Amino acid sequence: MRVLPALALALRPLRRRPVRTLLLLQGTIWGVAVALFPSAVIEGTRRATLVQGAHLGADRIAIAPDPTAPGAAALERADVARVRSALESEGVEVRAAGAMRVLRLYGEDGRDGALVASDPEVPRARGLELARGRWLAPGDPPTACVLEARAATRLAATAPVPGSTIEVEGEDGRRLRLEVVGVARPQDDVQRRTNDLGFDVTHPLYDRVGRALLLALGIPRVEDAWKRSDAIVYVPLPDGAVDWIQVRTTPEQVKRGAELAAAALLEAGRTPVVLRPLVLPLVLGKDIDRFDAVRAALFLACLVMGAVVMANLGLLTVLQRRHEIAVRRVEGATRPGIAAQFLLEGVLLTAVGCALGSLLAMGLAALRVALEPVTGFAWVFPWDDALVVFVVALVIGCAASLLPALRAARQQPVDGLAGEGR
Amino acid sequence: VRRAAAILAEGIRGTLKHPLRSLLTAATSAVAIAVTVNVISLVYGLRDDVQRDTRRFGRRTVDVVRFPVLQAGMAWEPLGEAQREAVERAVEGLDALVVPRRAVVGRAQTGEESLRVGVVAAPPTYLASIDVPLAAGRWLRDGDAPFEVCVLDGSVASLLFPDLAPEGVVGLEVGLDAAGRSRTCRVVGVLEDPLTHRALFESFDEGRGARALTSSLLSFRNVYLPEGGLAGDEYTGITVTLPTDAAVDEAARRLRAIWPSDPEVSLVPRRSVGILVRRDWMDMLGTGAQTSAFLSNVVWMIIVGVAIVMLSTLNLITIRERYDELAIRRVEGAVKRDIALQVTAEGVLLAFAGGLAGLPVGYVGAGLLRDIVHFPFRFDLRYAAVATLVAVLLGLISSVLPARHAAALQPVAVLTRRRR
Repeated sequence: MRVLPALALALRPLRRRPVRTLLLLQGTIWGVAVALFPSAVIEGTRRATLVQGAHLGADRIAIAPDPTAPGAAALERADVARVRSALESEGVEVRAAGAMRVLRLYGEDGRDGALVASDPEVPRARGLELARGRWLAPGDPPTACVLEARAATRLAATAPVPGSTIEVEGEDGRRLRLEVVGVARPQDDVQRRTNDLGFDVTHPLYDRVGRALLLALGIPRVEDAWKRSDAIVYVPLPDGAVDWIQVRTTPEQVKRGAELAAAALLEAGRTPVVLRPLVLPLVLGKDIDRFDAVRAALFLACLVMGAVVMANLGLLTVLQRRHEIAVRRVEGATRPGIAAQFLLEGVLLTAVGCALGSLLAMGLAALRVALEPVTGFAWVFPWDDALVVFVVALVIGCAASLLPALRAARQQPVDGLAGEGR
Repeated sequence: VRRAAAILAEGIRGTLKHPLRSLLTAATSAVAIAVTVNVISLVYGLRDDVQRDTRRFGRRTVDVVRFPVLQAGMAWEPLGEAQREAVERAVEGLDALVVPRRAVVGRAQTGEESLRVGVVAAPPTYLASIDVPLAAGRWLRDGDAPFEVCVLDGSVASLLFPDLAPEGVVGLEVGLDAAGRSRTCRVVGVLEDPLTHRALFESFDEGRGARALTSSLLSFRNVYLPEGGLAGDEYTGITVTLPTDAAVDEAARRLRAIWPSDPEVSLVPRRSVGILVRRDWMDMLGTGAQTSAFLSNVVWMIIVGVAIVMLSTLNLITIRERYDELAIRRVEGAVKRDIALQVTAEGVLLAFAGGLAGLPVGYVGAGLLRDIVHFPFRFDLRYAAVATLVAVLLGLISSVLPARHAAALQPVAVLTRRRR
């Protein structure tokens, strides 16, 4: 049989009755969609986290004293060394770590910025990059400061350069004269929307559902608009109690790092609350892969349903086309040729179902990503999984066509022609 | 009745006339129902368990607690003896039981095991604030020496002594590091673990490290010490247990007059001490579980929807093949309604039979998935009944169009065309 005419013949049901064929292909379409949609989101998010983890804040740990633990020892600057040592001794990379204390908030809840006493590494631990000058360094005088980008534009008519002097309101309300040693690059939208737990605080679902759910699960409400203001003024940190310890590691190690930091601080008699992105490490981890079994079960259920219906339809088609089969046999077509035609038809229809199912999966993935209040959710077309899914779908589609194909091949030309003649 | 029986008999005859086709149609229904019963038994089983578990956390309890709010510069409010007295005064006349508690995060250990736990020091009346029964031994009582005895939550006992039943743990000693001191205490009792699916939830509990002390107490991974077991002027919380729901509302109202809440966020005030009505919190968790279960219905609805669409289309095609047979029945005296009912009866019978076959398939599938995913699939007759009803609806809906089509056929036209 020549290929092109055979293909044209196989696609005839789709051309003649496209709506009916599409309705009957629902099993394959939804099966493929169910199989590919979670992979698309998980794979897309994994890639986004690994490639842009630093940008998404997926590599950061923020530690604060537990506000509900009376009498617990406050966090101290020395705890940074304790945390660093605990992480590094277990092979967790510490890219930057430091402590900070909030001296003053500007505007409502610090939306206009904050004056923060910090260790030199804190801006880097918070994912900032330097635009001009240098970061704070050990030995800097208390009047040295580093500015986040919006602080620089807010505090001076022209952007201050290293060496210039600015005035801010200090801890006690009096004006402080500070010498600028460095200015950070502006943070982009993603960074300014993402909190320490990895949520997009501007997402409607975070406000309506996420916050309440986190609270119900006992995770503190963090009033940290100042952290995302991009308008913090960093000054050198004196010894003593601190409000926050910031650690930057890698997205893959952030979960382990948070556990080690908590254990080290508990060991030292502190009662910390350790904040880190909650969802991205879950996606990066392997725990989620055990749900592949559920996905595979739903995929197979849809596909088996689709295959059974296709087989049923195939049997009917053989009945409807008995005259055509008989004519083709009389014209010289062999039994295997007839069977092959029906098999090809089943395989091609399954392929069409796979293509449509893939489109549906990507649509569902895009919708899922849009509904997710976690920063960093993304989707890609999961080629590896798609290959497996398509092969399984085609094999099942082929098996579904086998019954009608055998029945068509078994048909005697005389019966088909006589039946039509009657 | 005779007419209905005749239609049913005709329906059965119709399905048996094409056994292979009928078998394949029933198989489609079987798969859809297997998935349906599987999903329903998972999501509703889990929801029921969560709702039952949370009810044991003390529904008629109002807590005056330090709230988990991290805010720079937030004033530290006292929560000590003076506040306990204020609470006592506020709830006077409500038949309330007021119990203060102190808690810290500590570490419990045996020779081989070491575990992060909440350490709670409270008077014997504290047990009344939760509805968790004792699994073995006794609860704390007046006269217990503060540094000598303790009661363990069931989860702590099973982790520290993995090979022992709760009865075997009573009388053993546990090392305890808490609030800067180490001690050894004798276990006098073990509470039941109120969290049925603890292992499942903990495997996804990404927020464990972020949870504040007062919230983690209801994770029931605690060691309870007699009052005085933890020193200090400050309490972690003051628990008020009340006899009726109305008393709970009244107590909450009176206490909120002392510690007002942020009207925008009723659960958490923007101050360090606030009022938590456990019933409201439980209802919130229960509603969350209910909403999740409701949303999870989408999974089986999609599968059943797909089955309906495909079977409906297939039945429409099949009906065309049976025009002759149906036309002859019309000529023999069957009215349009008989034809429609026969087609519907066939569809329902096949879907029902498939559904019945799908139930054991779903059961076996649930067992396999339970072993892989460790999700608590729970088979229940109610869920099987719902799935069977879904099967009948599937058959009914997928027969509507074919039945109308079959009823509308003109016997004369069909038979004349056949003669030509």
